[in-house]
Amino acid sequence: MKHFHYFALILLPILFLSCTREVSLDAEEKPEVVVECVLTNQRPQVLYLSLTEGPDESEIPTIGSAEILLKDLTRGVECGVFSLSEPGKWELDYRPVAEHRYRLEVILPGHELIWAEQTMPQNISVQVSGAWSPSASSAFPPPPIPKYGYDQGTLYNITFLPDYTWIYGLDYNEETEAYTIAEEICTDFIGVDNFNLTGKRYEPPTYQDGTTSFIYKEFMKSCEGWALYPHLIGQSIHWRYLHLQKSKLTAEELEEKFQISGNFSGDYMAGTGGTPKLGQGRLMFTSVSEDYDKYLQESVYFHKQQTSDNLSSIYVRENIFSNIQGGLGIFGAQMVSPVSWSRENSPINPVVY
Amino acid sequence: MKTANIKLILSCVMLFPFMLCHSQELRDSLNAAIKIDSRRVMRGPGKLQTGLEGMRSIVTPLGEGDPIHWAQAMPGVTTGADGSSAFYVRGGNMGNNLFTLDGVPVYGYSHLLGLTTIIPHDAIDKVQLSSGGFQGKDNNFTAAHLSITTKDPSKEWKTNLSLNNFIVAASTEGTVSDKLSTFVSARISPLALEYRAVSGMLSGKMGDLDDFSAGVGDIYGKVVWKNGNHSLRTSFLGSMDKYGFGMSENSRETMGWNNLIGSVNYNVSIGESAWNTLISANRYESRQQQDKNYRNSSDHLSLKSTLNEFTLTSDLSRKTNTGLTLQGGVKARFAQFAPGQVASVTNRSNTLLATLWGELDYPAAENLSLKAAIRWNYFRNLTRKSGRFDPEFSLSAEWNLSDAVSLRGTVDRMVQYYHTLEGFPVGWSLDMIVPSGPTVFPEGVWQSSAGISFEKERHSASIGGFYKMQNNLVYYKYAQDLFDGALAAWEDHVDMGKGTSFGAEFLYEYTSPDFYARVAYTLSKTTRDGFRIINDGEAFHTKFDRGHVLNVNTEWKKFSAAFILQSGHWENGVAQTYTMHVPGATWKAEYYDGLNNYHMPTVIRLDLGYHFAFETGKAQHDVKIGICNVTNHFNPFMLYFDTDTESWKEIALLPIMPNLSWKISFR
Repeated sequence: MKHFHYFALILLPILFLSCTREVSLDAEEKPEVVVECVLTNQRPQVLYLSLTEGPDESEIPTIGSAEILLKDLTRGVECGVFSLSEPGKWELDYRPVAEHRYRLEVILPGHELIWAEQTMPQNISVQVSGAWSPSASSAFPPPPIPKYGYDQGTLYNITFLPDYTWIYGLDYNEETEAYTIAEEICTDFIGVDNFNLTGKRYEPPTYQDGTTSFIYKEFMKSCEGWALYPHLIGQSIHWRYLHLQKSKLTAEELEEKFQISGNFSGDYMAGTGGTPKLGQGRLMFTSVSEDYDKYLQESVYFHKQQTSDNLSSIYVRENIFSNIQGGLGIFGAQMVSPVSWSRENSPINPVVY
Repeated sequence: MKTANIKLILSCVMLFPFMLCHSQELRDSLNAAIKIDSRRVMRGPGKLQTGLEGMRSIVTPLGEGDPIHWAQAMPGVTTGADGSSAFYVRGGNMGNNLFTLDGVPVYGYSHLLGLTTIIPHDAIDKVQLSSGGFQGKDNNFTAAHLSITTKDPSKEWKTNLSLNNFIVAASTEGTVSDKLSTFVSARISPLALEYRAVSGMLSGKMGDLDDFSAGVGDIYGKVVWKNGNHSLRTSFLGSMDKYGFGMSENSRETMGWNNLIGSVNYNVSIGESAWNTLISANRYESRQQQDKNYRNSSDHLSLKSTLNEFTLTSDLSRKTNTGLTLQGGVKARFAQFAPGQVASVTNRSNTLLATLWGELDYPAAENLSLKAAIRWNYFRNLTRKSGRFDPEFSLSAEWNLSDAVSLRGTVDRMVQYYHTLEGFPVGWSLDMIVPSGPTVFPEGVWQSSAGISFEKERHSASIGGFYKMQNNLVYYKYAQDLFDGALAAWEDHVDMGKGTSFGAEFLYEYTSPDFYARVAYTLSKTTRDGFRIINDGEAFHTKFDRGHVLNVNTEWKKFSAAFILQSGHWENGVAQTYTMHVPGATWKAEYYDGLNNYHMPTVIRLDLGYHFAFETGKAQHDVKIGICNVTNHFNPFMLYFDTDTESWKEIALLPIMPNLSWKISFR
């Protein structure tokens, strides 16, 4: 029995002493060269050149010197050499031609040739076909518009839709003198891709004039049933971008007029058509190349994953599409058609066509 | 010394019938004085075998060994997380191992957070690990077969009580009549009680672990009827593992698995012929539930998987006067899979696996023995209406160059129809088992091994190499996420690819009456490649591709020590980042350069033990005390994502920890 006292000493097993410590999981992989260049129909062409950053790196690695060439393969000529405009940013004063194929070459000391090729898409053609709204001073209705009748709101119709199109809104902030993208955007266009839905549905905006406040919907009810963007009420709201794919549309659907709205900042605004002036809000109708379309879709998807509250997102280990040979990033092409979205046009002082 | 002698005698008694039965399969040319040592590993082409004492002598966190920890200390085997029951043989996945109890597959075999198995130790007769040259009747696996054979109840009534840090057990066995004997065992873990007792004392030292609960136990029974050449064995095994814990505020995770296994085995022997028929039913169920608050959003997930399997096997064996042994039989398995049940999603599939097999053991010459086994499998997914035939074969040869030196070699072609979506690398039975079907094909393996064995007096050594090629390996895209609702749609998230593994294995043993030493070393490389959507089809390390694995076990008189040194396993490194520009925004993007690209630190563990025995009245006491992880080396058990700090953390389960195993036998 003398042995039992041994047991007493160790019968209290030191359990659950499991200890934890934080781990960086830095695989210390070699940095990759990141090239971002999206050719546009506006000068200058901009290229961002950087390196990937390891999780434990205290300083962001930079690239100081590089030789960057743009070649027009359709014409067989060199378009020019990019020059460094600010750290990490390179520019070339050149305007690409629609449907021409281009090759980008980045020559970095100690690296193999980094290159990519891309074809400029055709530009989108959009018509702003009309808008009307009631106001205290406007008591005359214009001729009714098919489908939309006397409803208020800017109407668009696309007369030429390229293969891949993105639409987003930019607000102008007078204080910062900078454009910011509208976080939410909505349309009743049938062919819009639902990959970036927010889960919200469109409600007419609330108007506040400082002393009185009222729900615009209530205001509209008082206007004999006329409503602002009534066809958008209940439509799904997209996060930042509207993505249109021509291949998924019929010819009839392409001819349909449609409306666009969103939570554009400031007072409620209406599309006015025409080329926007500096300091004016705008809707960007953008025709993009196939590679850039894929890049944008995956970028939006993974960004939402990273910032979501879905725990499983931390296990996603997929990279954003890249067409850069020897590096990461994108060599894309786009044709942009900005349409003004005027701040001055508020619901109580709307533009009438 | 007296105790040592008793143990030697007992070992001799236990090993004697085993040696008689397996003298054809396993070569042991040691002289009789040394052969009686129960710790020595019996070796054959592609096979390693031990008895109960050899298994129990392994030093483990529980104070005594079990079949899994014994297998983990063998060459060719790498382990999962430190201290767990996960094991990987010659580059296979954990789910490629077959674990059987008296020939019945056991799918949820780990117990007690992976620290041991659900098989009660008192019931075990012998343990055999086969990694090549497989038997004809064994199929539906591609890496290894860990076979547990239970003993028949003793003729005298005997009762055992045992206690260790984590398990309290009781068993009794004896003869009811001259033809009927029985064995009954029950075990339960006081884990939750121990937690409550020490949680207050160790407040603040338990990391993020909070509000731990556990319900762990098993029950086993066996009835044996023998009448002349006829014998009938029926057995039952039920096990339960149920755990709950919180790792952060407003979060709670519960998990568990159950096994229910019943079997009836009828055997008749007439001269050199024998007929054996086995009928078994097996139910395996796992459950996971998660309530978690992440970025102010509450996630709730409840996931359940079940597998019911009914097996009928019947086989004949006959030994001719020339020493030739012929065996053959049929086996039919009907299985009902219901993996990844979430909400109304049930994912049910019924399958049938029918096998016709034959085996020939041929003593080609006095010093050369050959074995050939062939199997014809017909597998049908009855729910998905797809079927296929697959042949398999196994060849092995042993050539005794002299009394001390022999050459051994094996070649195998194996096919596996059940896939394990491995998510948790610690050997917990939470991995989901799914069947092959029209889109997920059976896994296949070609493998070969060759080696040379040397046995002389107290020394025994073997060295060899292996090469394995695997195809249709299933990779589950969200393998890191233990609790993942995507499991309900598992077919959408699996990819199939290839695997390659090669390496060298070394095993040395020294045996003397007072001293025993075993050194097992494995040098290997295992990769996966050819997956369509994973790592661009490029090769990557398997998670437990440990380049070096060294296990040293020694016993001197009543002292024992175990030293483990293993290369760290591979985890997914966190992403590199870069700034990207999209219309109207600048974001931080993530870039992942490969899979399993972060090498975890080397695992080092030294365990010490001391055992002694004494008697009080009719009770025989066997006591083992020890210290696990004497150097208190931080060996990560697993990684988890801390949702509070949004950072990865590693948790070590086995710091320096004393252990006790105390067994009382009443006669």
